[in-house]
Amino acid sequence: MFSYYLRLALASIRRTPVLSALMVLALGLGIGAFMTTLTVYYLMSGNPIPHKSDVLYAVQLDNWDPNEPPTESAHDVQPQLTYRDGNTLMQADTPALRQVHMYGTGAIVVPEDETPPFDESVRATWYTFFEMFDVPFLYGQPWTLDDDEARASVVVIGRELNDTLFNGENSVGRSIQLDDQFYQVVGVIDHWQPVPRFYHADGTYRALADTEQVFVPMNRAIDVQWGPRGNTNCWKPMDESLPLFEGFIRSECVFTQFWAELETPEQAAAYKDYLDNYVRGQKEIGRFERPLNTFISNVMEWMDVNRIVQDDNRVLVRLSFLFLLVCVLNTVGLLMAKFMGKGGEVALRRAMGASRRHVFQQNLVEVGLLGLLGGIAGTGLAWLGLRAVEAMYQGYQHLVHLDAVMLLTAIGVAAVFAILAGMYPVWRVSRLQPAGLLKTQ
Amino acid sequence: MNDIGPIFRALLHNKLGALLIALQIALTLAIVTNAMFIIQQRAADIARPTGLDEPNTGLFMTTLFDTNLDQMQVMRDDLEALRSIPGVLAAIPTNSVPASGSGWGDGLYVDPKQPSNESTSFGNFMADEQGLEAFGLELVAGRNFEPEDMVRMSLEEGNDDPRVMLVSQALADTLFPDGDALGKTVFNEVGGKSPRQIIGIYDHMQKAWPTSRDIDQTALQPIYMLFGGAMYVLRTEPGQLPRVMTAAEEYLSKNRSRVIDNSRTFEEQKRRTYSGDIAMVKLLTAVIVVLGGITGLGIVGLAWFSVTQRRKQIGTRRALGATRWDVMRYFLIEIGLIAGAGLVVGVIGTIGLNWFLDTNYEIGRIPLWYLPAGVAVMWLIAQLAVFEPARRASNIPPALATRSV
Amino acid sequence: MLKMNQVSKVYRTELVETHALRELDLHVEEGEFIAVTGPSGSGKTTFLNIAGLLESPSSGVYLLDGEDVSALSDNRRSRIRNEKVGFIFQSFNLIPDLNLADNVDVPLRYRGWNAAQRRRAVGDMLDMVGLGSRQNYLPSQLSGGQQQRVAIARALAGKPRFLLADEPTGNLDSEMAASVMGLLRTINDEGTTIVMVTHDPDLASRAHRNIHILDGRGSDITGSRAANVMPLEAARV
Repeated sequence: MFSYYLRLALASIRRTPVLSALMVLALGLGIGAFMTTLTVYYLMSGNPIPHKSDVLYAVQLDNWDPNEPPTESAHDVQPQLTYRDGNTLMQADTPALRQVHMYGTGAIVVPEDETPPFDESVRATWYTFFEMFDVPFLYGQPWTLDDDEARASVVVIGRELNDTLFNGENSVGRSIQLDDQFYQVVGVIDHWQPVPRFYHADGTYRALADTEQVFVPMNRAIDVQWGPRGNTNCWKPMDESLPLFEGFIRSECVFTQFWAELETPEQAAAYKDYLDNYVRGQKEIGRFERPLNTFISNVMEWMDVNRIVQDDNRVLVRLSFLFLLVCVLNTVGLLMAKFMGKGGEVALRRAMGASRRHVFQQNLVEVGLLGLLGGIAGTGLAWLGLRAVEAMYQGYQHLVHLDAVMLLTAIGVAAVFAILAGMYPVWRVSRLQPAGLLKTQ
Repeated sequence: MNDIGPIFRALLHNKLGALLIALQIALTLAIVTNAMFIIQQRAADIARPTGLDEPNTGLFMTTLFDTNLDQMQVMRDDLEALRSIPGVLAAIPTNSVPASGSGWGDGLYVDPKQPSNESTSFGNFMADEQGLEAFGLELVAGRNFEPEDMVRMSLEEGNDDPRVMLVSQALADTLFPDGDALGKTVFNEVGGKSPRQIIGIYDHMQKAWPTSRDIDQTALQPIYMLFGGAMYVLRTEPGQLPRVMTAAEEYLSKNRSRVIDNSRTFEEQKRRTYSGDIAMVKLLTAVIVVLGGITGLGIVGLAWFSVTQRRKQIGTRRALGATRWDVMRYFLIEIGLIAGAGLVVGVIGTIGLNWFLDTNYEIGRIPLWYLPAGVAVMWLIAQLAVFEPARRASNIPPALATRSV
Repeated sequence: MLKMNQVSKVYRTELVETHALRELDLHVEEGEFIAVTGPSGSGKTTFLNIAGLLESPSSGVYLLDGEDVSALSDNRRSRIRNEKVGFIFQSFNLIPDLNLADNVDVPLRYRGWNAAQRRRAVGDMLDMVGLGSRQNYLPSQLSGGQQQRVAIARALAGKPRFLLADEPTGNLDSEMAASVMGLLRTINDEGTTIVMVTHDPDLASRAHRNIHILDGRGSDITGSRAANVMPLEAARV
């Protein structure tokens, strides 16, 4: 019967092309708009590292100006650390399984051939970064603790940069020039793009920005005086007796990110205690004049603390849902109009022995078909919508990658809303009394 | 208007159709009014003047990666070359520009005894004696920088502290509400350190971040920053910018130890900084247009159907003496009643949605006048949507009454 | 074949009660060709709806083929309509966007036959009404008489034993009407019971027996040639 109903549905759609097109368009636009905003929201609020998000913790210490009002939630505390605190913790024997201390910076890559030098974002970090964040390696491996301690000129590069500089060959053991110095390649990582890019939050966060293509030991970056590219916040003047960079890294300015890997709640509690004790110790030498305020937040809590999903996203999701609702109401109205015009045919089929269930199924198939067409149109429109969003926003390069999930969701949403829209008209039309409608035509 | 009674009673027979249209109109009003309000706010934000001569300003971000170079010498050469390009009014090295989303914020103290949380925040920009000209600012009091005011700031050498600064009118008024800022000494750091004398006051320039509080509180400091590269700001005679950009880029790329990270016009930079707001404006505009269209077409579709269904009845009315206008008026009044009901609900919905969005996302309260404006527009859309079907209805011949099909 | 005993139909709204049929008694034997006549508003249509199981009577008993069908569920009535009753309408009621074969196929779809059975039945029926070569035509490409022939093919496709015809020639000119009537006679001769509702005395005269309905009450008029004269005694079956 299904194929028969499908044939009838197609015939019926062909009979009222304008009305049908209007319904498909309305559903398609509603679903397209909703899916677009929902996809952005879903990407922003997604878990960038599902298998480890519970054991990775971002660290916050409140070293801020004692004159500022006290803070209570993690959101009010600086999301970054001073270099000196991070560096001390990094080298301390803490209860954490691993820790990483890092900051975002940049350098000029000078190719060996005659192609012009170009600027690259650089992550200055520790060897633990790659293991903690599960970074996939194409060639080689991370540098070692020895390299960090020796402040070695080693580098891990990304696949795209490796393609540019070495035509994608295994470049381990070769060197690249950053600014005016050479760095030996120890590893090449595969394409790696956590969405959102959770590991770097500095308050001016571009959640969907590209990951860096250059990773160097943090100690090395400090030695060559690469300044931070991200947000830097200071409240206390630097020591003017020191050279500027020296003064900067010893200052109370915050510009580094710090993460700890803590496997159990007990470990997390012990680590928190450790941080509190560290701060108490610092208080004794006159730092950390504010109330004790340390926070550790796992990945999803960190997303929330940093308000990764912007209010604009949420407003758009809400509005586009209402938009979809209008489109569904619109479709219900048009379906009612269309189906009420079918009274004659329904009565005839009933006289020929069709049961209510037959009529219901027949029209449900038609509604389902319209829903499917609406869903397809909606998916297409959502794709265009995401392209438009990508073009309009800075740093939204990774939106259209997750099509499979999106496609299924779009079609699911379309089906649900088409059936919601169609259920009542279909029910109504199946309740039409066969008698009486046959006389007049 | 004595038709309203019968029309209303007839409506009650097709409750669902009327209800659907009314609900659509209500929701559309709520969405469109709130979206319009958000658009208006964002557009107003974007339209705020930055203080710069926006259409005639270009920016170059450059990096010097050869640390053996004499950076001051490179900068002097650059400035001489850039300033000699025909059409250039002024060129300066600086740290940042307004509406760029990236810059320096800092605090000033009027009194050495003020604690750190009582500083007055300001956007900190570096400039030399061409700064006012390059940023397109008007000096309203005092004097400009002179070459001997300039100091250097670099990573390696010890740094001199500048002794003077220029402040915006807004910053001067905040620091010295009595209007006697000129000539006063303020402190760039807590405890009376880094004193600066205010030697001049310019009209207006924004901070680097569009969302800053006290966005008009800015200052220029006479500093050459030697941090391995610079941002050059060029201001040109009207219409000369494209040509100057090309010439400047050509000159800057001659130095093989330099990378031009980006070169863009100020307007391009501002578009990038405001891309979120611009996107919001565009998306919401699309929502409004499409939603108006969908609701309008939905009404057209239903009206069309209703006319087709009532052909016989309309023919009979015509046969009984109704004029064309009577028939048309019937449909216009009908949609008027439905839209009226929908709009009453819609006004409540608009206020509710605004309350929800304001409570959760701080979009602000819609001014009252938006409501009658939105209602009028939606009413008009409804009437226009039904116009053509109603006209068709009025063309149904009275003879239809006697035909059997 | 068809037996109605004291069948009444009352339509109620909030304000009025309309008695469309009053205590109708009727007996139709297998293989009969009956004409039901009566003026507009007499209850002919209500009779047709009840006889065809489109509506249930308010009271009384209706036996179709020995089965009491007066108070069956909607589903059961649909089933019986499909298996035992064929309908022919004044305005043909073909589905405009289905071709002739698909139109004839409609009742068979609900019968649950397989594709081969359906194809054979559709072909046979269209051959029978002389339109076998036009299976793929749309109704709009046919004359009124041809359309009614298709409708008859559709009514007979499921081999019902009972055919209900509602003014089958009402929209046809006399020549076409004659040919449609001829076809109905042939079908009747082959054993299908036919009940035809009409207000045309000439048409009624070609049936075996006439039932006249007036104000919801029926009377049997035998001696069909003199149908337009006096009402005789009410049928007591």
